[in-house]
Formats: sequence, structure tokens, C-alpha cells
Amino acid sequence: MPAMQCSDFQDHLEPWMEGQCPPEAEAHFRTCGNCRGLLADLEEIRLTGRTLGEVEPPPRVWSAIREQIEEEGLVGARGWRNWLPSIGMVWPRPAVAGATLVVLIAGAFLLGIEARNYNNAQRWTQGTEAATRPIQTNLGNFELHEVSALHGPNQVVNASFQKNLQIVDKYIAMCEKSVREEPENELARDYLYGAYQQKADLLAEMSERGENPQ
Amino acid sequence: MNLFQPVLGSRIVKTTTVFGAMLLCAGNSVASPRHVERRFKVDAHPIVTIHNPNGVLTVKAWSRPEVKLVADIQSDKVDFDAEQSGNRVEVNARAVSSSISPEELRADLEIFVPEDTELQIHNDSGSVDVADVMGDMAVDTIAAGVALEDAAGYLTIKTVAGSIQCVRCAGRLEITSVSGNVKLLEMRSYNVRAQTWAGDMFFDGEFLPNGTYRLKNYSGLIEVRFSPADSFDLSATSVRGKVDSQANLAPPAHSRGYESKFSHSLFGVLNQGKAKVELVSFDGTINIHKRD
Amino acid sequence: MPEAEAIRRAQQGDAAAFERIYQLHSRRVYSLCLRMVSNTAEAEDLTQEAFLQLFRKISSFRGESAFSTWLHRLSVNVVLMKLRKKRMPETSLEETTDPDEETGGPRRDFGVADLQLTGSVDRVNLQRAVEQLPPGYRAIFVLHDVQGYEHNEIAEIMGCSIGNSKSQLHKARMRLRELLHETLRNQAREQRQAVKSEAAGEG
Repeated sequence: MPAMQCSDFQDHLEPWMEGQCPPEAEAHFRTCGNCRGLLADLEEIRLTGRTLGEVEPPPRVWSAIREQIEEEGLVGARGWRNWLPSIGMVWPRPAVAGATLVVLIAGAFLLGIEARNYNNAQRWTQGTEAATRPIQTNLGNFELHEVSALHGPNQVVNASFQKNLQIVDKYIAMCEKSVREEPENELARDYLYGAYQQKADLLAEMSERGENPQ
Repeated sequence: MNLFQPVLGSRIVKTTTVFGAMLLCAGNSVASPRHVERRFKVDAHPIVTIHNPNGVLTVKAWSRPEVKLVADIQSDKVDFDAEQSGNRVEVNARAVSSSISPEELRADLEIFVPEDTELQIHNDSGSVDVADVMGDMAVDTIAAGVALEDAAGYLTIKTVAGSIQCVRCAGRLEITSVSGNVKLLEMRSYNVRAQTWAGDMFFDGEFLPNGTYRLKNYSGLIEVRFSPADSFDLSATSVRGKVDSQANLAPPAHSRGYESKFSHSLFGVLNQGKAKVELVSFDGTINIHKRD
Repeated sequence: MPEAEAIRRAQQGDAAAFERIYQLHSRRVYSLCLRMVSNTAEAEDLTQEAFLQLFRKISSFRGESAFSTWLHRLSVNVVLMKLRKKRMPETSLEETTDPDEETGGPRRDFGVADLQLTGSVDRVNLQRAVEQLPPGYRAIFVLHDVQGYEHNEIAEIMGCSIGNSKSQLHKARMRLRELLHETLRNQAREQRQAVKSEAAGEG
């Protein structure tokens, strides 16, 4: 069988890059510097492409979208309060925060939406406790098992995170107490949702710093 | 089967190129400070992004169509590079060792930019000072304080513990912090949304017609200064704390969402109520006081 | 909020759900737009347009495909329509990939040792080269090599066959190689000229 020519080898380039290397192409590859160079170039391009990475859009993009969907009536314009839990999420959290934190933030929203439908104090109290218990458990577990093990190299930042986590925990406790005492107090509930959200946000930042030290 | 050994080698070559002077110095000392200066020619509305774990970051506007970077990096445990892609300049400092002291991690940066530059800043600790930049800005720190002066545009500032001060800023301002204090002086913004949990908040500025000014904290003080000629529609609520106002308010034309038997609230209109002011605290004190 | 829940709530007009969907997908969509148009203001407009279209149509999403695939198909269409309106030139790659017929070897441009790319491709040069690709090649390169989509996902996003996705990607990489070689040659030439000028100045 005649040896493979470069022109024939190039017909195999595309499947080669996908990991399919027939023996006759491999034989040509070993002996031909030109084709080795060509393949190395394509691989270099492929690998460098990965490093281009993702870029976060500036906050104004979401602001413009939000204004437009309110104007079009796609969403009820309930004012600042409806977006209130998300003011801590001006910065979209990276995926590294994981599904766990998604659940936690979901809990805060659910609490906000469903508790408003309750129309007597007892149901509010029961509903609030039922909604917050899994949030408390999940936040606690995430903090204990995942975030506490992560330490970025910046000691000042680590200390700041710990201190501010304690601050937010204190506020969560105070808000929970307030909601228990006055379950119909919508503002107290808003603060409680916000406090959970802030804690989740803080834990996400700690997680991000720990996994991807800056 | 991986036949691409040259590519692996090329990654090492590339890394060495990026590290540059740092590797050259590696054999001489563990912590060798270095000074870096770079210039990048840019077109209108450039974007400058900065990632710095620790250090003093100063950004100033100048009249040249150029971005100039002056960096003092304290040790070779910090990988530092600055590159340009089109009209975007990226400045990155990164710890390459997990065992590094705050002093070794420090990189002080002074950056000169055209005044219409859009800034994206991540500076975890140290401080951030920005002056005279009129492009949009997003600043994210953990413990670093942030000070903006004569800035304009869509300004977003987020800290965990760093305090925030804005002087003579215009445009739209969004601030969030956990424990940082927020001070807004001589403001000319039409839209201010600021929230901190444990910090104090102070606002002294113009209430532009149709402007919206919302300040929220959990505990601490919220203080707003006004002049008798100002015109705003006020809603001030504290769940456990006090609301004290020196404004001569007329009753509001309609009922308010936050009005509740569980909170101390004050609602009213000063002059024609052209701007909207919303102040909310959980157990902090809200003061609405006249300017001296 | 899990994505499925966010979609369901968004279909009912829930504001927080819209925001959640944006948070989950905005980086990918914006990055795609940015790599395609290389202009941040345009990328922002396109991102905004993509999400607005998504939110307007979200009630019609029935789960026939993965939500992210649906969104990215929409985003790619928004970008490609924009680029077509700008009448980006579509250059044919055929003349640059045909081998030399006499020798059966590759054209002289390929694999020339002193201009090999290994170790010389940086992100800046690559991004500039990507900007010069025709829109279809650019989209597939960005989706596959930059954002990591598989060919079956790209086929669904672009509305083409898997085979077509693979061949377009290969052509995109070959074209990028041409462009990067040209950049290297120009840079080498500039360096030589700079050295000559310096030597002439000193002489």
C-alpha cells in the first residue's frame, strides 16, 4: 500500500481532532514534520480558545431588561419590595456556589411569596417556621461542611468573612425572633428573607474565594 | 491517544513568558518587590477591569487616550499581568502560593484612564479610590473601603465590610454592604439605592425632581439632610427604632405600603413632593434633619 | 431557585423568577455575544435583546429541549441576524485548504517550522483572529472551543447537522490558523524593521 500523502492526511484532520486516529494516518503523522506542525497549531488554537473564558455583563444590562419587562407588563411592577430580596444579588453568583445555595435562596423567595397569602397569625407562624426550618438546616450544613473548609490565601478577607457571617447570623436570629413575636409584620418577614439571602450570598462569595483564590 | 506533547510544552513556555521578571527574580529572594509600568492606547469608552486581592488601588481620569498602569507588587508570590484586547484592558494580580502574608499579597496600583472609561474593579482588601471618571463603574470588595469622587454614570458598589463614600457623584447609584458604613455627600444622583446591614448611612445631596432615593439598613443610624426648598415625598419606617424628622411635611395624598401597627413610620410631602425618599431600618434610628 | 421552578414561575409573571433565569444564564449569553461582535456596547444590546425575546416567549416553552439550548439558540439567532444586517463578508475557505496538487503535500503556508503557532498564540491574538472569521464559523468556534458545547448541542442551537458542525469547526480552526500565521509574519517583519532602523541610527 503506498504511503499516505499529506493531502490524504488532511482529510483525516477533522476526525483526528475528535480523537479518531486511523493507523495509516498515525504512521504519516510520525514521519511528517509539516503535518505534525499543522496538528499542533490546531490543537494550540483549540486549547487557547478555552482560555477566552466567560465575562460577566455589567449590572446595567439587567436593569434595562427589568425596566423593559415591567413596561411591557410581562411582570407585575410591584415596586422595589418585589425586587428587594435581590438587591444583594446585584452581582450574579458564579455556578461554583452550587445547587445547595440555589435551594436556600429559593426558600427565601418562597417564604416571601407564600407567606403573604396567609391571612391569620397562626397560619403565618406555622407557615413561616415550616418554610424557614429547611433553609436554616441547609444554610448550616453548607456552612459547616463546605465553606468552613475553604480558605483563600488572603487572611484579611478570611477574617472579614467570618466576622460578617457572625453579624448576619445575629440578624437572622433577631429577625426570626421578631417574626415569631409578630408573624403578621410584613416588614419583619422582608428583613428575614433578606437576611437569609445575604447569608447565602456571603457563603457563595466565601466558596468562590476558597475554590478560586484570587 | 495524546500526540500533542509540544502543546504541553508550549503551555510551560507561555506561563514562563507571563511570569517574566518574577521568575528571573525567583532565585534571588523569596519576597522581591517589583515595579511595573504599562501603557495602552485606547479608543473612546474603553473598559478597564482590575482583579487585585490586596492593595491600594487608585484610579484617576486624565485627558490622554491611554490607560497608564503603575504597579508596585510586594512579592513574587503574586502573579501580575496586564493585557489589552481591543478596547479592553485587563489587570490581574493573583496569589500563586496559598501560604502568603497580607504584606506579600499586596499590590498597589495607580491607574490613569480616559474620563469616559468603564471600570470593573475587584479589590478584596486595601482600599479603592476613584476620581473624575464618568463611565459606568462596578466595584466589588470584601474588606476594602471604597471612595468615589466626582464620578458619574451607573455606579454599582458592593462590599462586605468596606466602608463606602461617594462625593459629588451623579447618575445612578446602587450600593450594598453587610457592615460597611455608607456616606453620600454633595450628591447629584437621580437614583440612589443603598443598603447595609450593620453600617450607618448618611445622605447629603440634591433631591432631583423625579429622583428616587432609597436607604435601608438593619441597625445603626440613617441620617438624611435637607433644605427647606427641597421637594420630596418621604416614607420613613423603623420596626424597632425611632424616626425623627425636622421636615415640615404635609400629609401624603395616598396610603403607603409600609404603614403598619408594628413599625414607627413617618409619611409626608415636602413642598410638591417631586422626588421620592424611602428610608427603612429595623432597629436603627432614622433622622431627617435640616442642613446647617 | 432551581431553573425548572424559575421557568414555571416566570411563565406566571413572577419577577424574581425572571431575575433568577437571568442570573443563571447571563454570563454565557453575554460571553457568546461579546466573542461574536467584539464590541461591549453591542454585546450588551444583544444580550438584552436575547433575554427580552426569551421573556416574551417564555410562556410558549414546553420543555421540548433543554431550556439552556433554547435560550442559546435564541441568542445565536439574535447575534447572527445582527451580523447579517451589518453584511459581514462571507469568505470561502476552499482556496486556502486545498492541497498542492503537484506534490500532494500541503500548501507552503502550512506547518512552516519557523512560524509554528506553538507557544505563540495568546488570547489577544486569538480574539482578534476570531473577530475576522465569517459569522457562521465564528459562532461554531465560540460555541465549541470557547464555551465548550458538544457538537450535538451545537447542531441543535445552530439548526444544522452534527457532521456540519464538525466540518464548520474544522474550517474555522484552519482559517484561524491562517490569520494567526499572518499576524506572526507581520510581527516578525515589524521586529526586523525595528532592528534595522536601530542599527541604521547607530551607524
